[in-house]
Amino acid sequence: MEVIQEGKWTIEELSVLSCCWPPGSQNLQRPEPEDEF
Amino acid sequence: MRLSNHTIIVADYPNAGDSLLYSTRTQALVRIGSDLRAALDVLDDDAHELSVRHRDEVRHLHRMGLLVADDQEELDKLRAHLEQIKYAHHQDCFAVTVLTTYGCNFKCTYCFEESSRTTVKLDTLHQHKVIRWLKYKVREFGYRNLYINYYGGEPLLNQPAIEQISAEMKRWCAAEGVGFRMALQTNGYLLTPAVVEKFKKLNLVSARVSLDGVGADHDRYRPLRGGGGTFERVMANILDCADLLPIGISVGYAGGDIAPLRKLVTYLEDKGVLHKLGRIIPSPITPTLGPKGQPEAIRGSDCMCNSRDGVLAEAARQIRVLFEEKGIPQPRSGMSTNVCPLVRENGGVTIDQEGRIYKCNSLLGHPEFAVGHVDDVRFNERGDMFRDLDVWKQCPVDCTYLPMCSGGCRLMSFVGGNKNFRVASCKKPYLETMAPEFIKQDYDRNTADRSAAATTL
Repeated sequence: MEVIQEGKWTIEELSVLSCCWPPGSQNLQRPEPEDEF
Repeated sequence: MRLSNHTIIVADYPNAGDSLLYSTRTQALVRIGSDLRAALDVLDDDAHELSVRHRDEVRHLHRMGLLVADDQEELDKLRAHLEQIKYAHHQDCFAVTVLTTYGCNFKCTYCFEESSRTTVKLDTLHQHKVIRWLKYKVREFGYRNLYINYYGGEPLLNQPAIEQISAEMKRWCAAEGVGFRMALQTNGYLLTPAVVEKFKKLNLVSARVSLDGVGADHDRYRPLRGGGGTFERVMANILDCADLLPIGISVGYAGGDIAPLRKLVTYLEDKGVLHKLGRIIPSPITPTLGPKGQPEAIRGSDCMCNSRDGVLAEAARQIRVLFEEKGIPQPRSGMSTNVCPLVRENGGVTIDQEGRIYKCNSLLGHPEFAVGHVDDVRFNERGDMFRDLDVWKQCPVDCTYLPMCSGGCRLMSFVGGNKNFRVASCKKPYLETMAPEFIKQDYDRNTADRSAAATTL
């Protein structure tokens, strides 16, 4: 078994996209700082 | 013990017999061989040779959330995840959008604010109120960074407001040991090197400009308010400023047709600026709420065709191929947890020029959807109503995608035909098509990154 990414449990650890439609699309209506770079 | 309902299996990748397992709840990603894959079918048989041989790996998969002990554990963890999305806040950064004005020198055909257009600007009194509210919130939640994105209307039509707020927040944040950055979301018409240099002194770190194509493709959607094209001047400004600041580009497209995007990317490449820019974010044009006082009179309903699952999936594939071809960095994983800001207790907010607070930019101009005001430290009953919609309760708990979607975009529920925020907006068919591709891309990117890191060492 090769672990590519361990499980994440908190909002601080998870990769979160705010205001993205549909999920998985990267269509960001309101990019936040981490989305800009 | 069994596979979680929220685990996706991508078979025969990267090699025949291999499988990728991905959790939409914990974002864990592993590659397993055929032997361990077979063991997952006999998890409850303690005596089975496969089960014995892979005991440690099975425990690890359980710890990562890819396996669950039983239905109750599955439900408990799902609820905890969704509660966290609703109530927890990301202490690293408070992202706030501030409108300096609803006024705009453009008259974009799809603008969701057009019916609310006024020339009222964020005046000195309201600037002070915004500053006071920001300081209170940063202290209340202990944020480590503050990020203000100036928006409009066209934010550069009221530059004194940007100067006043940013100068004070830069000073205050430095004294408090809080990081401070600002950005501009502008149509680009007034974004000159002098403006950029002025605001870089106030910690401007990026700008985002909307371009909908080259020349007439752009001008068709984004003309000047008094008539006339805008592309030439906006592009001249981008070329003049590209060495001073990362400028992200937002690109709207219709009907899944990315030809204007391709033409634009090629144009930017020919101008030698493509790889100096910030992120390029293409988005399908969507319907908007109706005029002020009549949000149910949805405009651009035909745009919903841009959001059909097949159209979106095909456009996403074509965009990815285009970006690869042009060497444009691909966006980070599509398998992120997607959170509708409307249903979060303490996510990012948008403050309009009269101090009203919104959680969704697309509701701007409709005061009945404001969730509060900078005069108050607490959100109003409307804010509580949005937070407690909990539309995920309408979804089957065994939906693979529920943890990353949580019932979908509330605006799309409203403009997509329901005319209310209370119905889940499901994109499962889209995700079923795209998720395996996203997971493969994440695997490839991750292994390439690790390989590059190993070479560097």
